[in-house]
Amino acid sequence: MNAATVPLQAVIAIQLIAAVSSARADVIIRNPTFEQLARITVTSVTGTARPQFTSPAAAYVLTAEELSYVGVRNIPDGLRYAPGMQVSQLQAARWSIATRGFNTIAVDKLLVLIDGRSVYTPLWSGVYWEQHAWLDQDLERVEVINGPAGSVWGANAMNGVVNILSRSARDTQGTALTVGTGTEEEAFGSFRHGGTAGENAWYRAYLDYSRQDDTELGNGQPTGDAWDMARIGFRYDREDEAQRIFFKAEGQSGEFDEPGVIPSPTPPYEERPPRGYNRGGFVQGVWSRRLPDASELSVSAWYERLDRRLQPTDEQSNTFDIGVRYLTQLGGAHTIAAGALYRYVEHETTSTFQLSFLPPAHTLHQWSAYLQDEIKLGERFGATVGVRVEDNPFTGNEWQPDLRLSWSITDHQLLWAALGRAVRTPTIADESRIFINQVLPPGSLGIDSPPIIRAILGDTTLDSEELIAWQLGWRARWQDDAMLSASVFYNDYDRLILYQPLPLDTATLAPDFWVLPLAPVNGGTAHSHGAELAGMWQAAARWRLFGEVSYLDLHVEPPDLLLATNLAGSTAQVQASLRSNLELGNDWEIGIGLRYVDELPALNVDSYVEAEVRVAKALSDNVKLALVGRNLWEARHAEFRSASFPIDSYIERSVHLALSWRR
Amino acid sequence: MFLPAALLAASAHAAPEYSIKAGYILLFTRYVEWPARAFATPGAPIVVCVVGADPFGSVLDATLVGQLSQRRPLSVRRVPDADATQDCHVAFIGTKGAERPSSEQTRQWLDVLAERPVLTITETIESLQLGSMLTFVEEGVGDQSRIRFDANLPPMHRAGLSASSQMLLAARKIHRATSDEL
Repeated sequence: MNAATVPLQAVIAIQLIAAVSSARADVIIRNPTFEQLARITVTSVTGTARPQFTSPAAAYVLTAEELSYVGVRNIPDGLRYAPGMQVSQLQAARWSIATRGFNTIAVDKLLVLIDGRSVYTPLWSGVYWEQHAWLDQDLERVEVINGPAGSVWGANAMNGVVNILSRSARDTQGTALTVGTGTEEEAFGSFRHGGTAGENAWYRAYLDYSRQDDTELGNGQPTGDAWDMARIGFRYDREDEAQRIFFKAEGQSGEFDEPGVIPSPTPPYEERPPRGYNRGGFVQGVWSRRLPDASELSVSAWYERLDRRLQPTDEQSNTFDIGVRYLTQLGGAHTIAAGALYRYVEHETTSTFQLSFLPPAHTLHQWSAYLQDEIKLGERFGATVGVRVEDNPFTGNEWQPDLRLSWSITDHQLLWAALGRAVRTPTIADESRIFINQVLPPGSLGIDSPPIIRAILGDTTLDSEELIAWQLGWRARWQDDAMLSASVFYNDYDRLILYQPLPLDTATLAPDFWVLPLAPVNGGTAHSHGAELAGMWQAAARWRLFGEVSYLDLHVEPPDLLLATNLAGSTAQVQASLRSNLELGNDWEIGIGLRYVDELPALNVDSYVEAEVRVAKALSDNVKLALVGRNLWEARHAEFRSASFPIDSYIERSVHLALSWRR
Repeated sequence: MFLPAALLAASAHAAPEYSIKAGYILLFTRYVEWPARAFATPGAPIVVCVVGADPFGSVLDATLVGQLSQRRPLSVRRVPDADATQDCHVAFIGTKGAERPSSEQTRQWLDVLAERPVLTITETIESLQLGSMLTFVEEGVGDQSRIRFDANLPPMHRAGLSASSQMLLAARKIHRATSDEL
């Protein structure tokens, strides 16, 4: 879409009224004028804004409404229905989420943003999903972009971007309350109150709480990984012809049971881990000013504090991020976006026997600047050229260029192609980690050997991992009732960080220990190719069907470096899903989800089919009751196994009941 | 494309087709003048009727109810055909959806309606030739499609209705000739 013109349009008082009696959010245009109406673009399929139709990228949208229809209560479960996205739940509060491969215990090639705020950890560039998992009751939608987007989003948007967006306070007026309970979702509740704060300004205050039961061990016992999380927050939006202001603040606190054992320096060389926690919060503000020459200038800033102890890390961090962006149009054909970002990170770890960092504290300064030109070539052709340069404390300057072409074959068909380079820069963990995986008891290597520590080390000379990605896509829609999207890609990775065994070190920690170290090297290369196909069909006025299937083939070389075969073998080759959302009468909603995930041979995880069913009934105009069954296909199934967390946990079939009231 | 979606999302720029059409219908009730005889009392409501299949769902009601046009309240009614439109001031005929009437049917309904001061609205250019006063048209390419309307003045004048110049300025096209010459 022609993104730049969007913020420049006159602000139109559109109010989303989420009628409780039907899950569909009716868009009501208040106090229209002829001029405004003539400017609003028509949303396609199913009445939801789907700006991805003309995007030259493998972009997909999951709306909050669609997700709630199949009873999804957290983001990871929602992402299971995004094309190409592989979601593996390890334990009750741990997920491995990756797109286009590299589905490891610590996925570090996916960028996740919430309302534009990057939430990957500076420690190892992964995402602490337990902190962001619970679906915001005022979620608007989740956007998924497969493939690199480094030129726009910065380093680590290597294999994809997940963009989680909450609703404007303007659209969440009134009071909403939800409470529920179930076999796995033991207790949950959320409360929100929204109102106006003067002319053209709105606010909401909210809180929510969720308590999740244990997963199950192979022997049928509880894993010991139950957890809970509470959040409290506030959002303010102000919007008029000249400017837009958005402010958000949120705090969270979660407690986690920790299963299993961790290595210890004394016999029996392992011990029970302490209880985990995740506490913190953020404040975020965005100010955008529309300038008279059809340009826009915006400044955004956020600060986040995190205090987290969850195996194997114990860390505290302060992150401050500020960015400016300028959007303008040159001539009729060029839409220019330019911007700069600066991020300051203070990160400190508390060393444990299992995991320490040398040095234990880091201060990072990162800046980046980008320039993008979206060029209209006649009525039907478009090109987007973008480049981002980023300066990071580990490897210096990194350039990430990107070229995209699009061709609207007809009004209802689009063909696009993209070629880009993306990097994943090394992190604190890659550089300075000492992770003790296991302690082998004395005598393990000959009669005289002391206890042996198996450790994964860091290396300060690491370079960025690099990807050159080729993509081709096609999208079509038929009237307002069907849409199909297909993409194919070829990814060429270089300088991948894999692990190399070093010789047995019988000196450093002798005579207490010998050390069997593994060190990271930029020694890997990889090739992957695959395809994603997604479709949507409005089969009847009140019946919608969604389907997707994806294929991925990943090869990592050389096989003698550790992690190489594991990376390839922990990626599902084929995944597919189907969803049906049906409204019956005025009061009933029936949602069914069905999904298939291929085997993960390197992890000894079988392929599986799972199903979700949700039946909801409006009891009155304000009250709705929903009964949800999740993972119904099998009594239990495993999704991931890892040598780093040698706990064989299974996801169980579950049922929950939710009662919601809004006014 | 490809700008942080948070920026895009904060601005409401797109809406479902029938939300936009409902917005237009609200405005039509404000900018079209009916002869006094069309209303029983000075405070009688302007009655908006959906004739035949209803593509709006609850959106039309939600947009109109509680609003005032020319000091009159608005009410929405759904009627099976043109014979049940005695009390209507606006008649919308969904000529686009799967359950649309045949063009013969549409012509017959429009003929019945033409005898009274009822503002007729359809959704296809062709129905202007059948005697519709206003029709919605979709403009633009791909995802940038927008909703505008065409106005057909002769049938409006015959029915004793007049549209304000402000409204006609917003029209994509104004047909001033008789419908036979369209």
